Amino acid sequence: MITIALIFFPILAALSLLLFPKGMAKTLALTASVIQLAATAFLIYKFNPWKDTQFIVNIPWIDMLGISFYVGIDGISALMLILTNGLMPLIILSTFRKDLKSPILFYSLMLVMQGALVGVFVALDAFLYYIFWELALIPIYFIALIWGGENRVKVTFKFFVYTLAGSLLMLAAIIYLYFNNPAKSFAIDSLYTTLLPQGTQTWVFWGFFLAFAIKIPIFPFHTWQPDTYTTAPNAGTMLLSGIMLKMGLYSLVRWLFPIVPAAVMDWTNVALILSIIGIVYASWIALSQNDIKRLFAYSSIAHVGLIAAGLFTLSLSGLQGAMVQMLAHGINVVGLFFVAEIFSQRLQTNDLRKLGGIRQIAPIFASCYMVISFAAVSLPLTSGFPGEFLLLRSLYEYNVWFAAFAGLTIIFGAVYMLRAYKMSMLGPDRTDGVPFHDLYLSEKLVLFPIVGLIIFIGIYPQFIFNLTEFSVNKILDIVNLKSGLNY
Amino acid sequence: MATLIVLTVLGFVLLFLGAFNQRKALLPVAIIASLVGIGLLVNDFGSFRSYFYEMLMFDNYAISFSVLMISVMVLLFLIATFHFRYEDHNIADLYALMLFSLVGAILMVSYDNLVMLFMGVEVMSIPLYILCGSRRLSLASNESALKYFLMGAFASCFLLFGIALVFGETNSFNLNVISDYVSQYESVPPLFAVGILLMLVGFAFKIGIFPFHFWTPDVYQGAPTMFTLLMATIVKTAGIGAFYRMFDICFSGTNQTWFYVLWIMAIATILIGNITALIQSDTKRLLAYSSIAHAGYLILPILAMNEYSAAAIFYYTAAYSIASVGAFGILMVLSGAKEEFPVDKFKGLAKNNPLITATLIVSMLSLAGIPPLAGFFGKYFIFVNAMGSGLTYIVLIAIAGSLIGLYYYMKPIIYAFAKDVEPMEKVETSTIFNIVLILVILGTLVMGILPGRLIDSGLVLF
Repeated sequence: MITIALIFFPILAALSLLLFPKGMAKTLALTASVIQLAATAFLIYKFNPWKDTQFIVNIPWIDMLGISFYVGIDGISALMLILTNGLMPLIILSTFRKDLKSPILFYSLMLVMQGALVGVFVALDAFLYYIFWELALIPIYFIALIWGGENRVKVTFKFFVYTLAGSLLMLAAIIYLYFNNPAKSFAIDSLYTTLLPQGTQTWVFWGFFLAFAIKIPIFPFHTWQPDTYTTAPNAGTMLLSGIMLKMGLYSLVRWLFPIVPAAVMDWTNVALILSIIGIVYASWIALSQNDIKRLFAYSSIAHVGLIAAGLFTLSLSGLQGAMVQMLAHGINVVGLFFVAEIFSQRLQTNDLRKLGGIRQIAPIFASCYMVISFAAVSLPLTSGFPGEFLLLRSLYEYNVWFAAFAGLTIIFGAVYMLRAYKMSMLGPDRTDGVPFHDLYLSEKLVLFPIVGLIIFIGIYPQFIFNLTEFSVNKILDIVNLKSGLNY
Repeated sequence: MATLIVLTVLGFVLLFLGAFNQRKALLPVAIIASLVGIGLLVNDFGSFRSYFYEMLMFDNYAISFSVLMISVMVLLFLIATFHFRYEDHNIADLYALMLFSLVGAILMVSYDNLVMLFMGVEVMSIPLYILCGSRRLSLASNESALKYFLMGAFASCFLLFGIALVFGETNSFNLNVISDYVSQYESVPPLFAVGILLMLVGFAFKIGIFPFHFWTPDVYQGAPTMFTLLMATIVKTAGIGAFYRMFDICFSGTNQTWFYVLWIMAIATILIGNITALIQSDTKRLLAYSSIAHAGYLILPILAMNEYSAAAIFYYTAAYSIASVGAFGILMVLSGAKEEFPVDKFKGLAKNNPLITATLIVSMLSLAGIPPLAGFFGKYFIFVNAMGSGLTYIVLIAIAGSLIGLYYYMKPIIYAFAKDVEPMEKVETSTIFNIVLILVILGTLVMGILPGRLIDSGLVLF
């Protein structure tokens, strides 16, 4: 039951926002997201990581078509729930100092989005999963369209069409799977036990892979991403980069690898090479960016490219590394975009060349930003390190050259991140006398937890490994068993 | 059957009310007529009664489609109050004509005899020709009526010629006799095959399928928006309902005669409808081309021809009709007394008109087929239905088509949220009109979220 509550509580909260006056919208939204976080914490407390899927609810929905409302939580889902529901209060809090027009609509959309994301991460019925996947797209589209910056119409539209194109291909693949499993069902169990012939697996693979590759995004399907990140309001960018693109990574593990493993094995080199090209290419572009949001956007492509590459090695260390890194990157990127938000609120610019010397004026802010930067360059003892280390190790075991090229991300990462830090925080004061206030309370409430989590995960990532190990092993077992039968 | 009588008689009552200047009574009488009609039909559900020496057959298929069309007509009557603000001549006649047209539409989904089919087509169409031209002083309206009349007459000829040839071979107008006749042949005689194809052309004209779709945009654009809506919803539902009934009962065994013809027509309709809609700058033309595309999707279940096809068509037409009521209804309010409404006039709508904007978003996204709205499930059922009969390629093309569709359905929404213009003034609406908009939003959402009930009962229906 708690699973269903987690999906529908935010959506109901979003609807009830409409009943209250404008001024209360942000407080109520924050309260709702904190309640959701508390419920998630309770769920994790009850959750036994060494057992198979728990908190299952399975209600028939459309009998005739074999569709049911089938949800449940295993270790991987639990991790994604921590990510989604943990970040949401921070993202809502990050908008507190901003004067948004039509705040009720804004926070309602945010909460609907949260419900849909939770739905994606717990759905165990392919059709239901597809519904939530699409449902998550609509609020973010409107958030970017209504509250976005310049050129938003073109940019958001490209984003919408791109992701929807991918989704429709996935829908075709899902329908195909439905007709080609003996139970005529969308339930994940019967999809896991269905063994398709190798030739048809390829088609299903591409149907799913394109959808996920666009969402993640993997090179060359990333072109919507930098523009959208730059144009969307910062809260929207945080949602997109922190949580939404994890939908693609999560789905690789949940819906692609165990369903068509033989095709995955066939195409794994292609996927790896694309991911690695993405890493190098995005890092290279990030080196010369002067717009801080664009820089973070490209750095995000590089980071998720590495996660995707690690996943495609289909090894325990790759998958586990990806799990930690998904959480770490989510937290970190929210921090980074919040830093960008603080710049643009105080100084109305995102241009690095117009920033500088802020460290002396705002030391607390400077320290927080520094820790977040360290995590982004994966310094040991920050959250970026354990994940990237495992990911690179898995790549090294797969192919040394892949690891060598992917490893460039750390070097490049250090260069562009520290360059951004240097240009904005150090050197002479270039703020032209505009007062730069150090962190306000609501901003501290966002940045301090992020810094705390970065250090905590850096020191003790083991709790994540414990949470996901059983589930990851189960996925790998299915992959090995099924691909063994195909060959 | 009693429904037909009630609707016809009350249609005449409306004419008399008009003659005695009882304008206030028109809407209640029309609505009561429709509701009584629905009640009588629902009461007959499951009885499979045949009337007039097997001329009409009120099976569950006929009853479901009739109930759907009458319900949509109720919404149209409610919206029509808004139309009659600008158009206050002969309102009673217009109400009566709408009812008569509905009677024809009901005949088209309940016929058991080809003569009745032809009767239905004519009874539905002739009032529509008048309605299209009801804005007497407008050139566009007159042009629209004339074009529709010529094209409609042309289509009727094809249909009639086809019926004649079929009759010539089988010696009967009765659907069951024709069906028996077909089942004794491995491949049907050439004259009969030509009859089938001519009937197919007739239907294609009526529904607006490539290459017989050319009249649609002009007629849709020129007619008063109120009656464009009637054409987009009830006429399309009746046309596809009649089409499926004919091919399901009689011609499903003669697959090889028409399958590839229809297959190509469906693909071309989907692509041409969607691609041409991309470059339209007028909202009504845009919706006209979108309706062509939707007609293309609706062919898929006929091609698939399996036990769920009827349910898929039913669900899709219901979803499409409701969304169209929303879209055209908004258009009617915004364009006022004019026939055209360029898409970029939606600019700045959102600020002061929350309900209209919400309806715009819901109906456009439903037409585009975005979950969890009704239109998505409609498309989904059609795709699954077609895949179930192995029609993979056409489903892929239909998916590509709906992706193209997304582009033009989003246009008005994007314009509505434009920031760089003066926000549009609050558009004046009436309470009744607002109620219809709310019904559209709720209906689309409920059909999208709980399609199970509808579809499961749909299984029992057909």
